[in-house]
Formats: sequence, structure tokens, C-alpha cells
Amino acid sequence: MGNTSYKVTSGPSKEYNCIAWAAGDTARWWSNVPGYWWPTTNRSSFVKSLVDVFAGMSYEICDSTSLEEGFEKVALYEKAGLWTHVSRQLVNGHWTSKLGLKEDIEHESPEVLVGDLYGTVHCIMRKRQI
Amino acid sequence: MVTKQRIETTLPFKYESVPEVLVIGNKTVIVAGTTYYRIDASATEEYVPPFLLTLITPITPITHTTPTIGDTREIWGSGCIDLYSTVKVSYREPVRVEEPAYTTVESEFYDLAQQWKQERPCGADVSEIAMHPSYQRIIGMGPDVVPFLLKELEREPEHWFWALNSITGVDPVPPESQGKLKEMAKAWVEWGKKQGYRW
Repeated sequence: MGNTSYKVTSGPSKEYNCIAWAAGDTARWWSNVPGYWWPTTNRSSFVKSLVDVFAGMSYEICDSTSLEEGFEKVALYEKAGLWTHVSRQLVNGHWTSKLGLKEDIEHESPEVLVGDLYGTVHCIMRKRQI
Repeated sequence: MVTKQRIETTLPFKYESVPEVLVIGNKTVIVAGTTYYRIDASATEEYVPPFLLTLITPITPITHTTPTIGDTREIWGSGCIDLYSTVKVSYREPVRVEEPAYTTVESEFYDLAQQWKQERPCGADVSEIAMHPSYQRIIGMGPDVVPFLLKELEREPEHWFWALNSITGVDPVPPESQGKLKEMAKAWVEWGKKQGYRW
């Protein structure tokens, strides 16, 4: 990760992953791999499939990571066209991520996680808060 | 109190040197090479009864030196921290360990499973975790490894589902259980028993 600070906000867990955490679900692991939870019929590793998952939850692509009142935002990551990670914005403008089997962390921006493991930020999506 | 003592059991791996058994504090530890394995069952200081070790996460020691009298260093790696204060070392003639009782498939599976758990990229998703060479080799072991995968799932739910799906071609997890680790494990174990697998 980059040299921007982050803090660990939970212990490790095998029960849920980054997508689940971004979607507010800590009871399931979301993955296109057979047997795992995937809310669309397009079970694909391509990042478009992940965009479709969040579009199905009323998210739309937007062009800013800034905190906007009334909106929840997520950042989708990809590497070589395949989805790798999702992080979710917090009410304080920071972002939260579940790191695979490891813990949740809070980080200052989506760019903190850009690198060899997660690749780059593919897009930001937002939906109106209920 | 640290004592070396006889060991009359089997270990799920082969190694060159005779292992030592140490009792450190209230935990019994087997030292094989420079890796410490904590025994799951309780044991007295004098005698370790013969039993099949439940190999839990191997502990990577922070230091590789043998404990000495008065040593207070941490020796456990992440996930299992313990401190010992007074260390007393005594020596008994070690005995040669018997040949492992595991079958070739079983010992190979446990070797690979251990390696996978230690080396897998924990920050990644299951699709990448399953790409680890050891996980792929387990898949390559084919149907013979299925009972061991199911046994492990029953013991501790873990992300073995892709391996099982790849080998068997089936997916017995009902839609309402998808993604729920314990329920997925239960579905596979029940499937295995119905198929006649025994472990």
C-alpha cells in the first residue's frame, strides 16, 4: 500500500470479503466463483461484471471521490481487466476496505490501495442514501 | 519448565532429524527443524501419549534459537503469542519417530494444505487465493483427495469449495447458503456423506 496512513478497524475474517463489506454484508463472501454469493447471472471475473453487481444495487458511475451529502460511494478496482477489490466511503470522507481474508481497514482515499495487489481504481459509483 | 521428552506418535510430514518435544509454560511444543508446532491436546510434562496430532497453524518463531534458562523472549509468531518466563532445559535420549501413519495422498494433501494456508495471498479474493500453486496441486490430485478436503471442511470451514467443485464438477450449495462459509461447508460434507465418502 502507499505511504498514506490507514488504520485497522477489525480482526481478520474468512466469512466475508471486500465486495460483501462494501455492500454492507458481513454474513457472506461475494464472488463469481461457483458456490459463492453473486447477485447477478453474469458470473464473471471481468470488472464489468462487478460494475453490474453494484448497478443492480442502484449504484451509478460518477466522476468524483469527494464526499457528497446524500450519497453513498464505492470504488471498484481492477487489474488487467479483472475485478480485484471494492472499497466503500465512510461518512467522514475516508474509505473502508476488507482485505480478503484479513481485517477491515480505514484509509484516506481509494488511491491508498492502488498497487500490485489490487491494481488501479476502475471507477467510482454512487447511490442515493435511503 | 522446558523438558525434552520422548515422543511416540506420528506426524503428518517427513523430516530428516529426530524431533524434540518441549514443554514450554503450559503448552507442549514439537520442534521439527526450526518450525514449532503446538499440540492441540493437553499433555503432562512427563509423557506425551500416542495420538495423532491435529496440526494447527504452524507457528513461525520470531527467533530460531533454542530456549535457554532464564530466557523470556517471545517465541510464537503471529496468531499465537505466548511468553515463557523460567526455562529449564533437561535432556533425555530422543527416540526415533516412527514412519508417518498417513497414506501418501493424505500426507501430500496436508503438506500442501499447510503450505497454502501459510503462503496464500490473504489480502486477495478467493479466485486469487485458489491460484496458489499448492491449492492447484491439490486440485490436481483429483478424486482421491476429496475425502480429505471434506474432512478438513468438517473440522474447520475453509475456502476449499473451488477445489471440490473443480474436482467433482458439482455444486451442492443451495442458493440460500451461497457465500456463507459454514453453510457451504455443511452442504459439501452432507453431499460427501450421501455420495458414500468416508473419513
